[in-house]
Amino acid sequence: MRVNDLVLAVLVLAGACVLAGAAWTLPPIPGQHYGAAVFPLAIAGGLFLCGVVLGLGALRGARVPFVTRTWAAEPGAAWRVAATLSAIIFYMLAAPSLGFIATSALVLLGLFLLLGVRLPVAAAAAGIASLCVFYAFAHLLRVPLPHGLVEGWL
Amino acid sequence: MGAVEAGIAMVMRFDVILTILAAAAFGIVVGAIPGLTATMAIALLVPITFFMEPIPAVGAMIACSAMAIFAGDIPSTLMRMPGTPASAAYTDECYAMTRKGEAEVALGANVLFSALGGLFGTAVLIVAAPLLAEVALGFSSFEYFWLALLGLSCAIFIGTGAPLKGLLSLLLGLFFATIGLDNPAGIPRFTFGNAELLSGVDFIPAMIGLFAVSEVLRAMASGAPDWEMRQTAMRNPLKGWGRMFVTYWPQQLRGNITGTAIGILPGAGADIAAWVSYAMSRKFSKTPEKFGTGHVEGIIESTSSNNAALAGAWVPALVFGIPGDSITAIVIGVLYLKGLNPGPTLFLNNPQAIYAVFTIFILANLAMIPLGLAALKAGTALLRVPRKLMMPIILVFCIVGAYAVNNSVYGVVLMLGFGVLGFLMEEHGVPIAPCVLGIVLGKLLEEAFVTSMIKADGQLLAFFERPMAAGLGVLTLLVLCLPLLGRLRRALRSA
Repeated sequence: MRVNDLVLAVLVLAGACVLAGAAWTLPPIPGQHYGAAVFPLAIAGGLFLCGVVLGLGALRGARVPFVTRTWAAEPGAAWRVAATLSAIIFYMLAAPSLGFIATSALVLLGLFLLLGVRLPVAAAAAGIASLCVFYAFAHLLRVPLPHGLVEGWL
Repeated sequence: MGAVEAGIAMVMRFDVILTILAAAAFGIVVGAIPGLTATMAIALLVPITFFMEPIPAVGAMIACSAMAIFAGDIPSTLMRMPGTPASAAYTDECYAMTRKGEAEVALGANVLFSALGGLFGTAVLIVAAPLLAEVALGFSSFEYFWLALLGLSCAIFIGTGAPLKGLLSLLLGLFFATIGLDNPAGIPRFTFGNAELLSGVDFIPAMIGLFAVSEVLRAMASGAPDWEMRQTAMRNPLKGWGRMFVTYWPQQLRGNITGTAIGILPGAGADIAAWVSYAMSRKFSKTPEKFGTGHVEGIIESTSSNNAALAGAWVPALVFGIPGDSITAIVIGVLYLKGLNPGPTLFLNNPQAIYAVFTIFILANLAMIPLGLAALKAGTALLRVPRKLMMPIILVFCIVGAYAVNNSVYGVVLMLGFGVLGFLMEEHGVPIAPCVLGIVLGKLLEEAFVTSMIKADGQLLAFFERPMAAGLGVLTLLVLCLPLLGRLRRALRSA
């Protein structure tokens, strides 16, 4: 799904105004003209210019619909993207209590099945991959991955 | 026995060579794992070096960092996940070669030119260390401002899309760099009362999100079908190398020189060197239209550059004890621990140690060729794994890599946010690479700009008063204005 350049330009202009407004409220360094606000204001100025040029270009160019359905037009595509994002959120919420291996295996199993991998292959691959990643990161590289049920047995 | 022979003899011992090889293998593994940087590889080595003699300890660090910088190219080529930030500049180019079935050619170029770049940087380190360090030490905030701006203006030309959208992406990156407590006034800026945001937007989760998660999302949207192209095997790498070496020698030389020069500057390391070199390669190329479509030219220049920068960063580190990049910052700590206090006196009192360091550099870069070839063969085998299995596993790698940066879920949150942003940006033809560079260089640019403005009391002319600053300033303005002048000339001609 993509919006046309005119909509993008309006978004950029709005973003530039919000940024400039937020930057104005930053307190100055006492006794100095230049402080924390200078750089964000310069960025806001740049964004505003970008928005104007982008908008003018879109107005002069060929008419494009406001919203074009690209990948989202494919059956199931939006659902798969949403599921992937949900899988990351699920990991963040569940890993501290379930531990890395169980959470990662569930995430992998779900995504494999979503992509049409057969259940036995998906289950085996999810288990093996989770164990390998855990061993590599938690044991060899000493990354303190969250511990849960499965890690306690290892 | 002279200092040179003594230095070489210190390295040519079985235990030292074995340590160097083991550290090199470790560097390859860490560098090849997205999210784990060369700096992290070195940091993980520090506790082990406590138990070593000074020379094997330094040798292990040099070999490990050189390999990690090269190995970052492997996942970047195969999965569009830069293993280290130094590979980010040409990730898209390498990945485009993989899509064309030329993954091994791209990786072969990475091995050869990384090794040659490293050797060039070493040669400069040996010949010109004290002199060049002195020049770099003369830099003030004005020079740093121009340098950062030069790096950023290069970024706009890196993207294959319209320069306007490149600029938009860059400004977004600069905005992300302003978040947090680390600003000239030292106040919380755009943190919305969130304690995690006080430390700013970490560059590594952002990079993993923008490059890798966006790619996983796109693959998931399309159902992750397998690659249509068969990967061409590189039967005789030496043959391909000869042709590339002859065809692209100017690019390689330019990458080596740029990389070494940038590496020598304190604070600017292999990451920036690769970005500047990629942009330069495109700017001076006879076929700039091929860039972004899987063309080896830009890869050669930037992969030479980042490894040359690694050696260059040792110049200020050895001569004055000033780190050229984050890797040498850690190594300087180890040098002090081992009694090899860096500084001019090291050259006077312990010259054999300096020559030993030089020897290790040469050995490490030579060892990169066989080790790198073995690593890339193992890496390309990954491409035979069906993408339906690969993409979810990459997502788990992304999560763990983003988590490992600070061992906190905050990294994963950042990765998720930037993943969605990267996905949307690419949907709208906004290139990702300039945004990444904006995040990297934003702090340096702001600090140099605000410091300079305070020093000059708002007089913009002061930015051109010092000869070195004036030179860099004119160069930056030229880079920025040349495309506009070209467009003006074309418009006048057609009128």
